[in-house]
Amino acid sequence: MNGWHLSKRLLTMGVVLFAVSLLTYGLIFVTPGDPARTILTQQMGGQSPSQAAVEQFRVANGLDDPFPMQYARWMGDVLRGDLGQSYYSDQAVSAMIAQRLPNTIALAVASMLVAIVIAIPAGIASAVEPGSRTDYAAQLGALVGISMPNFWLGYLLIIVCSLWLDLFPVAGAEGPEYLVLPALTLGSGMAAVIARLVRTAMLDVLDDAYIRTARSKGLRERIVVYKHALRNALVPVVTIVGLQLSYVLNGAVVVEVVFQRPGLGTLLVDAIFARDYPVVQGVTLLIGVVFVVTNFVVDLTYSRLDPRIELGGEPT
Amino acid sequence: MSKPLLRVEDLHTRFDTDRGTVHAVDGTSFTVDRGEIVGVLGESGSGKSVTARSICRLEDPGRIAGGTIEFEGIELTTAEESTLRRLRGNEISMVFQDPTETLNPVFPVGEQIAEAVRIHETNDRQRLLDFLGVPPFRDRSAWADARERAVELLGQMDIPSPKSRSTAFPHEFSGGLRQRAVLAVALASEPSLLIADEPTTALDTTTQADILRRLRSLRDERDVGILLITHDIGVIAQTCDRVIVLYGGQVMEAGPVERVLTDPAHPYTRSLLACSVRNTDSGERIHSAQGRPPDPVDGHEGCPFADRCRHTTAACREGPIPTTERSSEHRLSCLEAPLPATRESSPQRVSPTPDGGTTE
Repeated sequence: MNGWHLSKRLLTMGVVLFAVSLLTYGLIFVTPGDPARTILTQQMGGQSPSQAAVEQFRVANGLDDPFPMQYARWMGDVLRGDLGQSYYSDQAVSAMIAQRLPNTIALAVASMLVAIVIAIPAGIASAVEPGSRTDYAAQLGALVGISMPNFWLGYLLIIVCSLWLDLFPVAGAEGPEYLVLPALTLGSGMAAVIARLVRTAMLDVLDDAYIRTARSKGLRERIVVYKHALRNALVPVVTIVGLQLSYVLNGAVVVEVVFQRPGLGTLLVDAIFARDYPVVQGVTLLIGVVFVVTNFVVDLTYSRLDPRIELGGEPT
Repeated sequence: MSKPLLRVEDLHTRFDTDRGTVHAVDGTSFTVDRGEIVGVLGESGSGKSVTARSICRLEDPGRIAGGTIEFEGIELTTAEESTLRRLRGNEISMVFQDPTETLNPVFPVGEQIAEAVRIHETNDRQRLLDFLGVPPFRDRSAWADARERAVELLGQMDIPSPKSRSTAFPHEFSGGLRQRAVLAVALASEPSLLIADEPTTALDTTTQADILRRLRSLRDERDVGILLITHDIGVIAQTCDRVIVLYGGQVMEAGPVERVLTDPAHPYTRSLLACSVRNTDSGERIHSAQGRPPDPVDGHEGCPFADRCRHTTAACREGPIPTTERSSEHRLSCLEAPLPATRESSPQRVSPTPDGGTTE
C-alpha cells in the first residue's frame, strides 16, 4: 500500500520535473533576442556580426535543429550535470551556481530559523489567550510583517542597525555577522505568515477533548500546549513552512540584491539583465527542482506527524 | 462518621454567554466517600458534566461562582494551580465520554499511559524537554520503566497482547479498547477519587458491562471513591451505592440507590423512572417526560422542574426550595412531597416526534 503510494508520488514528481524543465528550456524561444547573435556579438567584442556568420554559428551549434532535438540534447547534458556555458564568462553554469549556492543556502536556513523561532512562540502565545494584549500585539506584529516589503525592511535595517548603531556590516557575505540583517529581513515576513497560521491551528486544537484529558492528568500547561497541542497543530504549519521555502528563494533575489550578497538571487538578476540565458535556465531549473522536492518531502512528513494520515493521503 | 473523601457544598458554576449568564450548576451539594460509587443521574443539560469538570477544576470556559469543593480537607475552589496539578496527577483522575476524542491521536497509546505514570512520579517537577523527549534531556530509564508500567496497566485492562498494543495509535483501537486505555491512563496515577463522565455512553452493551465491572472492582479492591455520571438508570442500578438526581443544576433527590429507585419521592425522579424501558410492561407504550429541560440562562426562581411537574403549586415557583430529609440519607427538594405512593399514575399518551421531542 505505502510502496504503491510512494511510487505514484515519485511518478507524479517526475512528470512535474519534466514540465518544469520544458518550460525552463522553452524560455529561450519565447524571449526576445537571438542567442546566436548575442553570443557572436559578445565574442566579437561588441561588434555586430554579419548575417552569414550568425547562420554559420547557428548550424555549427545545432541552434537550427527542431525544438525537441535541442531540448533532448540539453536535457542529456543536464542529466550529466552540465548546465551549459555562460554567454559572457568562461565559466560553466554549474560552476557558477556551485560557487553562489552556499551563500543562498545559508541565507535560506538562517531566515527560516528566524521565522520559526519568532512565529511558533508568538502564534502559541496569542492562541493560548485569544483576545489578550499579547494576542493583539502578536497579530499587529504579524500584520506589519506581512505588509512590509522586503527591500524596504532591508534598507530600514541597514540604516538603523548598520549606519546608526554600527552593529552589523552593510553589505557583502564574508562571515556570519553578514548574515544577520538579511536573515532578519527575509525571516520576519515569513514569521508573520507562519505565526498567523500557528495561531489558527492552535486555537482549533486547544478546544479538542484530548487537551482536556492531558490537563486532567495533571500535566503542566506548558507541556499540554507545547507537546499535546502543538504536535497536532503542526500538519498545516509544516505545509506552509514547506511552501515558504519557495518564498525564501524568491525573496533571496530581492534581499541579496539589497545586501549585495553573492548568491543565486544576484546571479539570476545579473543573468536576466545580461540575457545570459544558460545561467537563467540553470538557476530557474534549480529553483523548480528545489520546490518540487520540498513539496515531496512535506508530503512524506504528514504521515510521520499524524499517524492517521496514510502516506500519499491528504491531511484531514 | 469520618470526613468524606469529597464534599461539594452549594456549588455554583456559571457560563457567561451572549444570551446571558448560564447557571449550569446551581447550588449542588453532595459527598463521595472512599470505597463507594456515587451516581449522578440526569438528562442532557442538567449540569452533570459541568459538575464533574468543576470538581477537577477544568470548568473553563465556565467559572465557579460560589460554594465549596473540599477534597481530603483541601479547598479546591481557591486552590493554586500547582496544588490542582498535584491532585490531578496523584489523587483525582477523570474519564471522559467518547474515547475517540479523549486520547491524543498523534501519540501511541502506551506513550500516553506512560506519561500519566511519569506525571505521578515526577510529582509536579515536570520538565518540558523531558516530556517532549528531546534526547539529552529525556530521562531514558524512567521512561522505559513508565512504558513497562503502561504495558502492565493495559494487561490489567484485559487488552490482548498489551506489549504490541502499547505502540499502536488510538485510531487503531476499537471503541471498547480505547475506553479501557483511557481508564488505564486514569488509573496510572493510582487515584483515590475517580470521576467518570458518561464512560459507557459511546460503547456497546458488552463493553459497557465490562467497564462497569471494572469500576466496581476498583471500589472493592482499591477503596477508590467513584463519581459516576450517567443518564442511564440501568447503569446506576447496576453499579452505584448512592445516587444524586440532578435537574437544572440542582439536586432534586439523593439517597441510597435501592431506595431512590424503588421508592422515588420526587416527581422528576418518578418521571425519569417512568421513561425507563425496564419499568414498562410489555405491550405498553414507553413513557417520555413532558416538555423540555429549563432554559438555564439567568437561573431559576423556585423549583427548576416546576414547568414540567404535574404537582406544581404557586409556592413551587417562588422561593428557594428547602431540602428535606425523608429518611436518613434520603434527601429531597420538593415542596409537594410526600406525594401519593403510586408510580407516576395515569400515564399520558405521548408519542415521540422525529426531532426527539414529544407531543400529546
